[in-house]
Amino acid sequence: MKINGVFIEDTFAEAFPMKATRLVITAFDATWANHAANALTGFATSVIACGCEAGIERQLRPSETPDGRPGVSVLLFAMSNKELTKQLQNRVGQCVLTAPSSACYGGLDEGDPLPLGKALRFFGDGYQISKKLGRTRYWRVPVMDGEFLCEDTTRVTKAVGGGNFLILAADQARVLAASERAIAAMRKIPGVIMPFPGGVVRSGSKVGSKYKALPASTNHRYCPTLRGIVADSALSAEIGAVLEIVIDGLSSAAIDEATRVGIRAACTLGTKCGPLAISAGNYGGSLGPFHFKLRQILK
Amino acid sequence: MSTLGLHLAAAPDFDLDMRGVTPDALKSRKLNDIRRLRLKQGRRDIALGELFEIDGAPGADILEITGACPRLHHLGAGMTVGELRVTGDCGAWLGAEMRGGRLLVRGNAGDGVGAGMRNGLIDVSGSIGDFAGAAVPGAVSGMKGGTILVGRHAGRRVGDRMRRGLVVVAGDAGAGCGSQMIAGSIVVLGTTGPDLGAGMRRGTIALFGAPSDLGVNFLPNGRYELAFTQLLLRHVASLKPAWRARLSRVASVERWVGDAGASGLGEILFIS
Repeated sequence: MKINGVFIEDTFAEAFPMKATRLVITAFDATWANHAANALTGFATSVIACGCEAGIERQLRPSETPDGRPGVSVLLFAMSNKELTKQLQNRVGQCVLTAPSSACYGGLDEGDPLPLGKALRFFGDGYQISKKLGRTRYWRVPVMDGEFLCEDTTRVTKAVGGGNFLILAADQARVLAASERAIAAMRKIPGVIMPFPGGVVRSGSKVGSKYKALPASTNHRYCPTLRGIVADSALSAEIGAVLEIVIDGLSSAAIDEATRVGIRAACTLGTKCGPLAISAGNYGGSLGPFHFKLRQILK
Repeated sequence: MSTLGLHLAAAPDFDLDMRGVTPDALKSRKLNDIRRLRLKQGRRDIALGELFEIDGAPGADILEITGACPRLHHLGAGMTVGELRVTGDCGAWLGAEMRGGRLLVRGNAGDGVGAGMRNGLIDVSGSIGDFAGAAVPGAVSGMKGGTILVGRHAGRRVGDRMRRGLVVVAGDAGAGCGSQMIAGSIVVLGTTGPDLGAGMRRGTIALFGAPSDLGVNFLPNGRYELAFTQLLLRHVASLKPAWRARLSRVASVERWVGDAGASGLGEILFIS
């Protein structure tokens, strides 16, 4: 299969189940909402060492937020409810509560509740105010610029982490151009994040390592500098650089759509200016139960 | 959804206690049982069928009472689910100790609307009497949850001793609005009378316009742009879209705290 001359390998991306929540962060203006959201989603590229994977889903207009101010929708993914709870408390407590003029709300309607303001309210030292509007409880915590308003809980849902595809190109310039085009298109898809820097990861990994302490190590089959050294290199002679786009989604359908849109956008550059081939990271079924078959998605 | 209708043919000579005439209580009864239901009328009781014409099917989720008059007390009291629609004026204790469901009144209501209620929605298109959302006789605190929406004016001591929940008055509220509030929220779109928030311990009273008639026990706390105010008013607007235009004019809030004679943690927000 080829799209605009770009070869689509007959393979699949392998993903695994995660737990996720959506937060809505609002502030005095979009700049301050983004400061809070960027801090919250910082150092959240991979559960391997960050505890969670997080990213900005999209910008929200004032009419889309609970308090009518500009906002940002953020998704957080973790391997368990317990870890997600810990990450929420640390990240919202240190990055949103601290951000001037910010407020934080749960962004999902269904799922089990996880504590949000319920835990952070104690910062108010007894001066916090509980408010219940409808079925939702909020906490008003006094801070130096007024109040930090935070919903009592946020909902957790089953999600999918580790959806991916690989962009194979002749050199760094071409692979970066294709990746940027893919990410720009994928950021319009609701319910997904691409948690790595700029949405792209260069250090794609495989499960396990020759060193017993490491759970993951470099995906040697896709490292161009190991071509000719390792026996099972997946790269042909013309490939000089490979980048991976990792996708976490609230559903497998959302990852399907992001994969489709991202690959098609990358391929619009053609083989001359963009990728030579598209592949995906799979581990023979050992990593997770969700398989995203590239050719099927792109039909 | 199906509807069961009760039409009051003529106003009764004595006050009538309507406790037990709720959508949830009547849902499992047959029509003959509903006709035979005994209603307290002073020291006597009387069959519902002697006063009301009944139409519709039993098992309905919606109960509609038409031709209501101020002699009908405790309408919707203690209801838990379903919808009760009332056309006409109601007596006292409308929706008292309500646990859930929706109680919609096209008309006015007497004293004690939503007293001691814990959940659900009461929406009165007209005016109501005193002590809305307050405590039922013998209780320590007033409403503990739910929402009361008043289309026109409310009498004295709205939300007296209320602990949780929301009362919104689109018109004016009488003297002692929010008196002895323990917590919860009251929003008044019109004016309020004297003794506003007297003895309130916690809770929020949100008003439109400049501060006036506050007792010495309330202290100015500053002017803020509180996200909570927007949240509160947007919540009210979601319950009553017709009020949206009146609720959207928020620039900032002048906050007063008190009653210093109680715990002093209550707040009165003047929205302008």
